[in-house]
Amino acid sequence: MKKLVTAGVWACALGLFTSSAWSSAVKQTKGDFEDKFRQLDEVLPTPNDYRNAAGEPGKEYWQQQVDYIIDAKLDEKKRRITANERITYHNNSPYTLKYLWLQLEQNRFKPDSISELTIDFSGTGGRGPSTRAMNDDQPAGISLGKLRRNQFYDDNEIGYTITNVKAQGQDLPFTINSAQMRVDLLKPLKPGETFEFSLDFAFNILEEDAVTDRGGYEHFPDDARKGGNDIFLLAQWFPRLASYSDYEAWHNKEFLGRGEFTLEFGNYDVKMTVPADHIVASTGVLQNENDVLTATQKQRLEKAKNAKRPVFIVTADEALENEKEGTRDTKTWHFKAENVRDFAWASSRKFMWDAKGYHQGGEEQPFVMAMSYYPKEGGDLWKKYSTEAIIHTMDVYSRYTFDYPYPVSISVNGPVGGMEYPMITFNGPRTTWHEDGSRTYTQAEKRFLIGVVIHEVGHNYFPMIINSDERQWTWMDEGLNSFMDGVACREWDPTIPWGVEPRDVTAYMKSDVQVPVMTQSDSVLKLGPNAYTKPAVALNILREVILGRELFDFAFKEYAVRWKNKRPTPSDFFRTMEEASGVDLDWFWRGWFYTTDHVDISVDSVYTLRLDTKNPDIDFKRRRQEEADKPTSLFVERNKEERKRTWVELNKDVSDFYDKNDRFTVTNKERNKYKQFLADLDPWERKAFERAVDEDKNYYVINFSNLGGLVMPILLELEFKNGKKEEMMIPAEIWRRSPKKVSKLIVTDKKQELVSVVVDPHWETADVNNENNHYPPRIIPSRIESYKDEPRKGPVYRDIMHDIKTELKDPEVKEKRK
Amino acid sequence: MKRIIHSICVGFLLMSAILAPNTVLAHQQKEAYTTILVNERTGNLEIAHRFSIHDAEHVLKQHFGIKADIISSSDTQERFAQYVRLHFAIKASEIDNEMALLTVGHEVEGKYFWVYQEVKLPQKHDVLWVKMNAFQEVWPKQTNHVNFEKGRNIRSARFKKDDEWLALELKK
Repeated sequence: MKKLVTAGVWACALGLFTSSAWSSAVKQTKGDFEDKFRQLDEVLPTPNDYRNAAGEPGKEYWQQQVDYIIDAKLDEKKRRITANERITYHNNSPYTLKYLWLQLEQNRFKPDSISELTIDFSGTGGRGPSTRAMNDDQPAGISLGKLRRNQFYDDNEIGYTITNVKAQGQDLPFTINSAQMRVDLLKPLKPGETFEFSLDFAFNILEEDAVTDRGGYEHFPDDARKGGNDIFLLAQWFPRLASYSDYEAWHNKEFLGRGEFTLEFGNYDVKMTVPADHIVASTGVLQNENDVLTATQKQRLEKAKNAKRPVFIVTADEALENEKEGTRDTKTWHFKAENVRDFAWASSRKFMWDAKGYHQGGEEQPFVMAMSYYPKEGGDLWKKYSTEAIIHTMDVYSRYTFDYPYPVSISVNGPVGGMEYPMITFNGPRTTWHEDGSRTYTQAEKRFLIGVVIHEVGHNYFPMIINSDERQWTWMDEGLNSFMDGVACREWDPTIPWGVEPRDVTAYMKSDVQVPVMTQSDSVLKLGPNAYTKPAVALNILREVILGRELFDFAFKEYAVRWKNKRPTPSDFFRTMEEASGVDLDWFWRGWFYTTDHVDISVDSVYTLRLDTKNPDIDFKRRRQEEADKPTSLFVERNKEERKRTWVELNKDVSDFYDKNDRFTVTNKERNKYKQFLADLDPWERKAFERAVDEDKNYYVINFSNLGGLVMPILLELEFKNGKKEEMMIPAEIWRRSPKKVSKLIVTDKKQELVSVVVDPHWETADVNNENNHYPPRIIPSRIESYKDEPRKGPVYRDIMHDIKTELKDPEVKEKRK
Repeated sequence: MKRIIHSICVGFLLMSAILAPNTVLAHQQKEAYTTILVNERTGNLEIAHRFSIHDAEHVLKQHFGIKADIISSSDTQERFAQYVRLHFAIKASEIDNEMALLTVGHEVEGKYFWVYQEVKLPQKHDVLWVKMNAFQEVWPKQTNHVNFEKGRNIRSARFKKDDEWLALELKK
C-alpha cells in the first residue's frame, strides 16, 4: 500500500490544532465574524510582579545564579574528558528548594535516553543519519551514516559517568533519569541561601561526523602525524543546573536534540589540561598566558590589539609544523568568565590563530579581542574574513541592542556547521582541496562563511545575553537573530543576496503543511521556515512596513536592554514591542505567530463616483450625456443596418412637445427646488458644498478582499492618466470590523484621473499571489512563462580562484569548407 | 515468527553509499521547494524547483565528487538540472505511467537555483501523484516541499527520505 498523504488529512490536523489554540472563554457563537484584532488578553499570561504588563522585568523579578569551578583533563588518545566540578547554587527565588535538577546533555545520546528511544525509524527523531521504512517498492533501508553511528555506539560507552556527588564532605543522594539528574539536598535551601556541592564526571567525546551533535571531535587521518590529528569541540560537556524560573519552576523538558537550551547565568572558573602542543580557544579570559603561550605569541597578541587587520598569533606555517608531531606532555589552560549562561571550548594542535582588537568604546567593555582558530582546511577563506566578520557583527548588533559585554569574541572552525556559545562560536565552512595541492573556495562558500559567522556571533545577543528559553521557543533566538543577521549582512555588502525577503517565505506560508510559530521547538514540523524565516520576515515587515524604522528600532532596542542578562518569554517580547512603539500590535502577533494564515489581499473592483452639484442645469445635462454614452441597443442598431425606417421618421408631420424636450429637460420646478436646497443649508454646509462642487474632485471606491486570512496593511500604488504614480498605505485596522472584504474611498484632484491600482507593488508584505493585486486585472506571467520570454542570466558564483589557474590554450582550429 | 524475521532480513538493504555531510549548518534544515502550477492560460502543468545555491554546490561535490561551483560552467549547471529532473516525477494516478516532462531550462536568481519543467495539462488534473527525492541520498534530513497549485487551491506535501509517491488532491 503506497502512502496516500492527502492534503485533506493535513488540513484536518491543522484545523484541529488551530481551533484548540484559539479556544477561549469568549466565543463567536453566531455568524462567522472573526475579530482579527481581538486583544491577546486571554492568550498571554497574566502580568505579575515578576513580569509586568509592559513586558519588562517586574518589581520582584528574580533569577537563579549558578557558579562553576571545573578542572578538566582531555585524554587525547582515548578521546575522553575526566573532570571535577564544584557548583555553587544561589537560590534567588522566593521559594525553598528541597532538591536541585541537573541537565546531563551527554546522556541524551545514551541508548536508553528519551531522545534515542524515540527516534522514529525512517521518520523524525535525532539529528543524525537516516533510515528508510519498508514499502511495496523497496525494502527497508539504512544509510552508511546510520551504520557508522551504530558502530560508534558499539565501540564506545556513551554518556556520563558521575561519581562523588558530595557537599560538605557528605555524599549527596542523587537520581539519574535519562538526561536529567536530581540531587537531594541535605536540608532545604531557603530563599537567599547558597549551596555548594561537587561531583566528578567523565565521558567519551562523541565523533561529530558519526553521531551528529553540537560538538565532539573531528578526525583528520591524512595529516602528516602518524595516526592523524583531531579537532575537539567541547559543548554541553559538563553536568549543569536545569533552569528554575518564575514561569515554569524547574525546567524539566528533556533535551531531545532539537529544542536547544534553557540556562542560568553564572561565573565560571575552568582549567583544562590538554596536550602541550594544543591551542585552546574558550569562553572567558585566559588567566595564565605565561604558562601556555610563548613570548612571541604574547607579543603578537599585544600587536593585534591595535592592528588594522588580523595578526597571526599562530601562523599557517607554525600550525602546519605543529600538526606533524605530537607530545605526551600536557599544559593546563585556565579561563574565567563572568555572568555567562554557558561555557564551551575547543582544542587542537591543528589550529592557526589570528586576532584583531575591536575598540568598541563605551563604559562597559571598551575593548574586545576578536579571534579565529582554524586548521589549514579553513585556509585562506578564514584568514581573510572570519575575524573581520566577528567585529562587523558586534558593530552592527550593538547599535540595535547594547554594547557587546564580553572581553573576547571567537570563531572556531571544526566539524559543526554553525553553533553558538557565549564568547565562542563553531563554524563549518572550509576550502576545497584540489589534486595539485591547492585550496580554493567558491563565492557561495565565502558568503556562507561570512553569513554563518555573523549569524553565530549574533547569537551572543540572542540568546546568550538576552537569555530566551530555546527549549520552548526556537524562534525567540533564531527568528530575532535571523532578522538581525539580515541587517548585518546587508551592511556588509548589499549586493549579495542574503537576508530574508518576504517573497522567500510565501511558498511555505501558503502551503497546508505548517504549524504556528508559537509551537514548542521539538514539535515544529519545518524548523527552518517556521522558526528562522517566518519570524525574521515578520519582523522585517514590522520594521519596514508597519512601524517604520524609527518606532521599530526604538522598541527593539528597548526589548534588548530590558532583558539583557535576564530571561524573556514571548509575551515579554510582544508586550515590549507594543508598549515601546506605542502601536497596537496584538493583531500582528496573533496573525503571524499564533495562526497559519497567510497574506493574500486582492483588489476586486474600482468604482468611479462624481459629486452631484444639485444644480439641475448641470446635473441633468450630465445624466443626458451618461445616457448618450451607453451603448445603443443592438436591436435598434440592426434595424438601422437593415435601413428600416421608423414610424416617427416616416411621419414627421406629426410631432408634439416631447419630441423637442427629452426627459432630461430642466424646468423651473427643479430650479426652484435647487434654490430652496441652497437656502436651507447652514452657512458652513453651503460653504463646504459650494467648494466641493467647485473643485469637482474624482471619487473612487476600491474594493479589496482578504483571501489569505492574515490581516495586513494595504499598500497601494495609484497610477493616473497623466502618468504620475502615488503610493499610500492603509493601516491594517481597516479590516477590524470586516476581516474579509473592505472598501476604500480615494479622492483625487479633478486632473488626477485614476487609471490603475496595484496592491503591494514592491512585494513587501509576503502576499502569496500577485495575480490578483492589479486593477484593471492584468495577466501576470507565471515564472516559467517569464523565463521562456527572456531567460535571465544569474549572478556569478564562479570559483575564480581556481579557474584563474587554467592554462591558456590555443583554440582548436577546425577546417571549414564551403 | 521465523518468517517475519526472515522477511525483515531480506528486506534490509543498504541505502546510498554516500555518507552524511560533515558540514551541516547546525540550525537550518536542508529544504527545497517545488511548485506544480496548473496554468490554464497556457494549457500546461508548470513545474519550478527552487534550491539554495549553496546546497546545490555541496550536493554536487558530494554526489558527483566534482568541483563544487555549479555556476562556473553551463555544463555543470546542466548536470545539476539533469540530476534534479531525475529525482522528480509525477503521474496522473497510482497505476499510470510517469508523465514525460519537458525540460524548459534553469537559471540562477540571487541565492537560489531554479529548474523548470512542464507538460501539457492533463484533462483531469485534480489529483497528482508526485515523487521528489532530490538531495535525500546525500542529506537524509533533506525535506522537499511541494505545492500543487491551481489558483488559490493549494495542496502541499513534505517529502522526507523514505517517501515514495505521495498523492496531492486539490479541493473539490
